[in-house]
Amino acid sequence: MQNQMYGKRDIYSSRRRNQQRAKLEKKLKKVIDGSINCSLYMDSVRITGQVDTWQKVVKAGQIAAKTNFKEVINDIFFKENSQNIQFNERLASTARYENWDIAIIGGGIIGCAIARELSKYDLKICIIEKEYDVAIHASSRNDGMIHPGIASPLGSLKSKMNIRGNALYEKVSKELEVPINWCGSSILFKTTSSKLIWPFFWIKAKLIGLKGLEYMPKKSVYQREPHLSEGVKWGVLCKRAGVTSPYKMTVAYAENAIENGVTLKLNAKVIGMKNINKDATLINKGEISEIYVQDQTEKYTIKPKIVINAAGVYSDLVAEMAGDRFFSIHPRKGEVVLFDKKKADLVNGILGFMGDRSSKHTKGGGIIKTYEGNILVGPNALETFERDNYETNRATIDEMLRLKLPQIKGLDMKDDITFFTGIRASTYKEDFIIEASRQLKNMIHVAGIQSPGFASAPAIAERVEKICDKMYLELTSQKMVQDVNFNPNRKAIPNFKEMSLEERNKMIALRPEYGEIICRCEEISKGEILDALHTPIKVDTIDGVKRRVRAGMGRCQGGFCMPLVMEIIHSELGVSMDQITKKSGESKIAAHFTKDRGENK
Amino acid sequence: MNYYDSIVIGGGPAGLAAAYQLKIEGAKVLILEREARLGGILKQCIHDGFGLIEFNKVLTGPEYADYFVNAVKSTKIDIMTKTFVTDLIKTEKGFHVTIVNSQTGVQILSCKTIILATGCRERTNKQLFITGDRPAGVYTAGTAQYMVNIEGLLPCNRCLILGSGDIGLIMARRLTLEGAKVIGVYEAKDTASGLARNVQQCLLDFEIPIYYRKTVIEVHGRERLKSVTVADVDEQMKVIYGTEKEVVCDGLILSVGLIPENEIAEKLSVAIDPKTNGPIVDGQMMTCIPGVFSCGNALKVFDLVDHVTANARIAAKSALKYIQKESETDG
Amino acid sequence: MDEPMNRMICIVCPKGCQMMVQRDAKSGSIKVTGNACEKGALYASEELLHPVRTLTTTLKTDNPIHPRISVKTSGAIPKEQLIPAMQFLNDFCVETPVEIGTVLVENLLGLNVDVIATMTLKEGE
Repeated sequence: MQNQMYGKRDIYSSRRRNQQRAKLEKKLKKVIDGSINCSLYMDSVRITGQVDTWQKVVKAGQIAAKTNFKEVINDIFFKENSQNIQFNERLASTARYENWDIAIIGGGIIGCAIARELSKYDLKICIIEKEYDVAIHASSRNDGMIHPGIASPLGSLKSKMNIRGNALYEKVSKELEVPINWCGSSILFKTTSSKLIWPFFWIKAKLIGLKGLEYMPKKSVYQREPHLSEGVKWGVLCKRAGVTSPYKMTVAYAENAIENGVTLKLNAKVIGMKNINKDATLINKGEISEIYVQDQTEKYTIKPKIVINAAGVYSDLVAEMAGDRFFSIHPRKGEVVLFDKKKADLVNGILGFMGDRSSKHTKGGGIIKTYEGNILVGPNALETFERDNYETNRATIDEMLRLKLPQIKGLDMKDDITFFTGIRASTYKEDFIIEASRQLKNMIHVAGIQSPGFASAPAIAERVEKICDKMYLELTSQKMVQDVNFNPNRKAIPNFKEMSLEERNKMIALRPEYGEIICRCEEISKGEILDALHTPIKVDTIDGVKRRVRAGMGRCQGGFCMPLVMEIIHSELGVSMDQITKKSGESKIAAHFTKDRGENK
Repeated sequence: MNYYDSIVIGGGPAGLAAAYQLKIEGAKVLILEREARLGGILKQCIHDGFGLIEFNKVLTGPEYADYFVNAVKSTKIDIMTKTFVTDLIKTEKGFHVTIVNSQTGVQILSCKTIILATGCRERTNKQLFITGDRPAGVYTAGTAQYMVNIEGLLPCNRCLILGSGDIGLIMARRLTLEGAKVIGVYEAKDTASGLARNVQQCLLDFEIPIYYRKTVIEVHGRERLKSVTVADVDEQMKVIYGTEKEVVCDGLILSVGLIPENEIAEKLSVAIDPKTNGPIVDGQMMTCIPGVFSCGNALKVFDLVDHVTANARIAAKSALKYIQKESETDG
Repeated sequence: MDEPMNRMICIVCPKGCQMMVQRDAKSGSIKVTGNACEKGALYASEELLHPVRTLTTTLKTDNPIHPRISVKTSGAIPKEQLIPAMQFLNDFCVETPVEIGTVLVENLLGLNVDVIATMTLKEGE
């Protein structure tokens, strides 16, 4: 009976799907653990059971992903598992409710890019973000690389989105005033025999429509990257690769969206949803009528026409709330080390080493010169069951540096200025999911957006716009109407450091605060910090300022400028010095004023 | 274009002493200071113990600074505060110094000699590869000192101090006096790196323990620091795994070394000694670029400000000689 | 008979001499060795009988830009009075401008020392 629901889309008969399921179950029982069972959920496969390590949970999911099922729902338990998903909190409607045309869950690069694309239309749009700012998770915790698109598997959605996203960024960069350095990336090989695969690169590039691919003999490799250690035999140059600031890009998208009428709800967490048809099927579809939101002061209800799930590493949990969880996210951590700008000259672009990857699931886990000129090493790839534990680990960082540092002559561990972790929102199929829900009339899932997600963001937003257009018509029998007042251009905070002497003088004459340097390492002026405090998104934290103008991101890591930034926040916004936080919540910089409280009073 | 015999970059103890010396011996001098007030780090070093050699008196940091600030002001030396140097260029007859200031905008000044007196900065937890979370509550001792002494903020209620540098020891006492609990000082070596008297009057006086051959390897707490992991280290300062212990605290104060600040010197390709992180100088404090002198903590980290003052005078005198020699050759 | 030897680190100057200090029980005379100067000997006997310290700290001010002013005691005070002195000074708020050397608190806790400004604090500087 279930088979009827799939209609023509289902390429398997019920019997064949069952055979596949049984075969997979047998394999998992044998390879992973006897307790594992497989069942069918729509055209995905769901695996359950109990094992003793997270590695086994992931391994089982990866084996299941090799089958032809659409996605893998991995509900295998292990002892410390946070996978225990329960959203029985189907709340009754709250007293207060709001009507929205589009509710986007998640304020990362994807949610913000979608919001900005949809703000072209005369729609009431909100972004619901559980954190205190945009770009808190993966969007500020990556290398800012705009991949050329050569690395994604042929025919994958990733590949398509990456190629298109890369192309769109040129325009986006101009409109949003977030500069990109199209520095190019080199894929480097250490064996001569591997030259045989060059034609395959060439053919793949032709097939996916990637231009600017070049074969580099050894000599050209070392001409391009003279500080590279010996041993590289040849390389592939992808000219269509660039670097930019991922957090500045996300903030820019969000700001432009807000300027075009989008509402950004911060500190707002989705805690439940109401599906008007609890027994929704592919034929008899359901609909999300209410989203329950908890913010710092109250619980309230959002009544949306369309819901967009852009919740990153939490996207499967959001899908579960909607009663539409057909995939699982297995978070994959990546640690990154940043080096002093003094060493900027050691690397000229993006370097990837073939046959030298710390894991097969990293893209360009190599050495990059960031937009600002810091050499970045990483990321590595570590499977984890914790969705937002950003702790770094000395042993894994050491291992990564042990492998990568020798690739560049003159790059030393003591030149590091900081390191951090990002978490990739990977599905077991390791491809993007960008589609209208198949059993809910008004939901769009944008999930599994891992690398090259940042590079793909403009294309993903474009694709969602199309899905949304169709969905809106089906739901309301009306077309989305263009907003004549849409302004695609967003003004960036002037970047004093990048100005010529003449420009600097003009700026200081106009705004004297631009002549006062606050962050000495990054040369950030008081004017830039003041401007950051008055952008469309409320900024009153040290890290919020940092994400906008980079004050505190240099070699002293804010040792000198953090107190000065606090003084500016205090005098400009009237926040008491003892209440200023690093990143909202409990993260107060100081415990309290001296002489006011404490043990000796 | 404004022309100076010497431009002194930095208005801390080294810069003030050098500028004063240059001026009283007849040179045309300009002091460039990025902060609003002269005095450099001495402004926040409110403890005493300065000046015994220079003045045969026990002074606090602000008092020591006050003497030199007054001396400098009395000689009518040109001073620009809130002024940031963005570039140094070697010219035929000397140097061009590009500065930024909110009143005068960007200016290019010309001079015969440059005195680099830019001081030093502190090593951070990131440079020690202390891993874990990135919470509020982890500060270098100098940042904590600024917060307490200048802004009147107590950075934590209960803290651990990593490293036994002098600022760390001074801060142990200062935080205790202001009502915070200092659990202890953790030092990876087997002796304190600060002065013995500071161990006595800052730690022993207040019964603050100092632990040797121990370090902090991880910090915990997503928003505010909740605890740190400490561990023993061996003679090579390598962590001995299996000795980890978690210590509950809301503050980690680091006093793990000072690094001379020479980023601006590097614009002139001044050669840097990898051991001291300061410029390589001759006996007269001249760097490998003729006409560029280095002194104070920008040259190497000194224990005592009195020695910084003396060192700055040597640099100034040698700059004077250089200026005279150059004028003679110019005819 | 002599009382036990006391090991001491001199805090008078940065040298930090390691001294041995011993008091003769009968005569009460104090013998100091290891000191490099007379000041050290003086410090050692004081430290043995009644240890004193100069307190350096800050006081609150009425100036919003400079909420604290650095101060010191004009002389040393008994070590055990450091914390009570801090507690006592918590409530003081200094009216600015203040010149360096100005007495801000007279006769601190009746200890015959004053609290004096160690910096000049002027409006808007």
